[in-house]
Amino acid sequence: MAIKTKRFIASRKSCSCSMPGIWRAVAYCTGVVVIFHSPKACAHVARTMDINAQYRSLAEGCQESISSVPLLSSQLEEKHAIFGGAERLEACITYAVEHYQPECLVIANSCVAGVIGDDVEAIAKETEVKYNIPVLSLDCCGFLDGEYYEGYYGITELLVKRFLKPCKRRAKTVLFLGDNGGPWGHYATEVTRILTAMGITVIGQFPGYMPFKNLSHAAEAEAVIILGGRGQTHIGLTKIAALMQQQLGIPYLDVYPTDWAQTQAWIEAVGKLLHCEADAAKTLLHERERFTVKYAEYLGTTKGKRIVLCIGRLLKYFHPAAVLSTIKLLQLDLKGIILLDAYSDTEREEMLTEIKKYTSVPIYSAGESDSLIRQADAVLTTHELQNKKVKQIFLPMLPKVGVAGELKFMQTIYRTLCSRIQGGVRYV
Amino acid sequence: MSKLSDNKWGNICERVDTCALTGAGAFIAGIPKAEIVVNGPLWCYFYALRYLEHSEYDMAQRFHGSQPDNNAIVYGSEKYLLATLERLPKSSSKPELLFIEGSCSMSLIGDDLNGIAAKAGLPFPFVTMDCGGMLGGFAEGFVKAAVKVFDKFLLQDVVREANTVNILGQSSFYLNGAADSLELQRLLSAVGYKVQAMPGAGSSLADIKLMGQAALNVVTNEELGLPLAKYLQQRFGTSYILAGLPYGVSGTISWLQKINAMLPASNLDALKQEAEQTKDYLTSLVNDISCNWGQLWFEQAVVSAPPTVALCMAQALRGEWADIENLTVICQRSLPQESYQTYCTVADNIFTAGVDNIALKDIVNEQGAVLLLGSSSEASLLYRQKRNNFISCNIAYPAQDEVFMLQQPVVGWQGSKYMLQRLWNAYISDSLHRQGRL
Repeated sequence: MAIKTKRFIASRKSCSCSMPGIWRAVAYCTGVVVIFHSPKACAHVARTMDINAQYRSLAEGCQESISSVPLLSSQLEEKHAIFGGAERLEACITYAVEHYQPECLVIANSCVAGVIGDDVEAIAKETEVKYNIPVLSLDCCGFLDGEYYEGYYGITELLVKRFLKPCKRRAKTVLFLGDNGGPWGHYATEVTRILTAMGITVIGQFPGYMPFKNLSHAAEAEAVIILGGRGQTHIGLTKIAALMQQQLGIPYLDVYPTDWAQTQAWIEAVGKLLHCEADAAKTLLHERERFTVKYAEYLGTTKGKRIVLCIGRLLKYFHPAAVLSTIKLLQLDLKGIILLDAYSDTEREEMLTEIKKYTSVPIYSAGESDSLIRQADAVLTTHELQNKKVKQIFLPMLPKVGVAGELKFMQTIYRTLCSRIQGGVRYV
Repeated sequence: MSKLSDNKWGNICERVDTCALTGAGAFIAGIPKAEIVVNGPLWCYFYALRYLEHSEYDMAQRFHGSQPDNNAIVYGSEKYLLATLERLPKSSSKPELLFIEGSCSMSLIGDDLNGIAAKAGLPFPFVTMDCGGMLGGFAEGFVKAAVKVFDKFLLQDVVREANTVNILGQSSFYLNGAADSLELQRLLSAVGYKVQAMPGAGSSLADIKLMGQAALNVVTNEELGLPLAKYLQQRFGTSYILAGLPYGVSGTISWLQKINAMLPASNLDALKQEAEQTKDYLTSLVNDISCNWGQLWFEQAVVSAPPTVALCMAQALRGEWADIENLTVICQRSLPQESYQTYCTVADNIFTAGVDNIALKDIVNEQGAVLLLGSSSEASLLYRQKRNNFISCNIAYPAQDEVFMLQQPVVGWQGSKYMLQRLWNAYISDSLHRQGRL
């Protein structure tokens, strides 16, 4: 019997929307007001993401320390499909300016505005002149001309070009570039911990978490540390960092400390970039000791346990090396890898080629793997499976980073294997 | 000043609603064995799916998406929708009804959903609808989908039955909606009515078809039920009553009496007796709890939810459950008839999101004990303000900071016990934490 995933996803592109990306790029930049030129519901969707992110942080024991900026919607209705929504947007802008006195306005366009054909760029230019405040907008309408990251990077690029200025640099300071849950999220807190141990100070997190008035000081940092990921995240952030280097002369680090091997490389690279190799070597030694002692505690339970790995994500979003490395460290018995029915022939071939570089375990298709899953002690999977009897460990799109991230992943595997409860999904 | 300085713009982060696409999906998903196809971007589909999954975890098995890419705006979405419809008979059990709804951008390009569905030769009945956020929020989608189903399926030549009622305005996808609907049905049956249907809240298509038999339509959530009651009045001449929701023990008896005044029930007295016994029981219990923990007192209570829930809950809160110095109600949308007094006569302030644009931080007291009956959205705003003088119980979605596993009604006297239990436990837990901090 074939295994089935809980949700069916057929799309290869247009999977997300640019508007939440735009919102997220400035969501905590005090002084900014965001307007969605959209039906009201689109703003509610972005707000839902915002709430989810906040409660995820709270669940991890991190409380947000600043409030998000106002999010307005021009509230397009059916009648605007005929008469256009430009007047509506202008009225909303007027309200925003009068009510919030923003230092900067950011306008995101919806797919509806794109279909109607409102000239938002022209309205943005008029608003700048009329109210003498900067207004940013992108030629990117909902899911029509790009996705979440086109919105996020598009606005970030505009912020860099318009508001970041060359400054006198401060030694042993860095600027974070990217989001990954914000300053209170796992990524920023873990790398801040390691950087602090090396005597390095973080002056801010750009773009989403700096007050608008502080943007002109962002370039005081000695270097930019990218809070990256895989695929579009990494490519987009690296491009922004390159732009900052070109425009402001700030060097950047684009290593992604997603597992123990990458974390070691990351610490060494930071030391080199900020000319503190000795501090880096000392920190690395300490982190290695901490990591080795801690993960050895799990081996008694994990050694020899039967594990199956299910992969359904494209290679650009999921690289198997990190998880295979963790499986090896924990001495798990990987019984096989199942490629879910989510690939075209080419995509499947790409993933197969990559997997074979790291392991020789048998690789199965979804149609021939049900019995394999039933015999496993746990399944590591990129997609939630319909089978509720098997213990699943869900592999996130953005794995946790650093020593703490790798240990957290190992701890999840350990606790899953300790559990006597049948089935269920565990999230890292 | 701006031409539209009527506060309709305001900060969306201060408001709670979803999309008509979700509301329409929720109505259909409230009919067992009905399935839904969203003809729209994966993003919109997935958002609606996640919302519905809060009430029904396996919703993905009957909520499908055509997932067109951006080129569909130019070339149409037919190939994506056809591919999805072709996949359906293989992947799902045969639905009694398939509902195909277009998202806002897909609706704008004018694809003929009916034509595409007909081309697919579906072996089951289907209904199509242009939908999406341009239509409005949850309520607008819910109502429009209901009317579409009524148009197609309600039988016209039916005989009216005395003592038969429909309950209009219940959704299985409001928080506690499914359990509340069952309890309302139980209460009405107990006093002698026959409940023909609760469309959108568990009734089968077969029961919905015969809704014209009812002698009275009982409207609970006005924003969902009133337009349907008006539709049925026009089509069948059926009277309706804006009954609201029966929270609290006395509130439940008043609710039944109100319906009884329109359509006499055969067994109301028996239930009154049961209510008195419950009242006695709760009074004794609360006396005992108060002996140790003191008076259940709040300097302020803020009740924020869809309008009928918020107003009716506020009435029971102040009238039966807790002592409150200042009671503020935030209706998360307008009522169709703006008849706030129909449901709540005890609030000090009533605000409506999108009409009165007041930030929550300016409504909620910074000092003194505050009770928040709302959703995780309002709580999240207060967490960000670092307020630590409030306790909260969720009465609406989103509900991220509380777990609901039991099918526990909030209406009726079972619901009254449940709410009192939650309020007291939150109060006691907060008291202990505060002492721990001292």
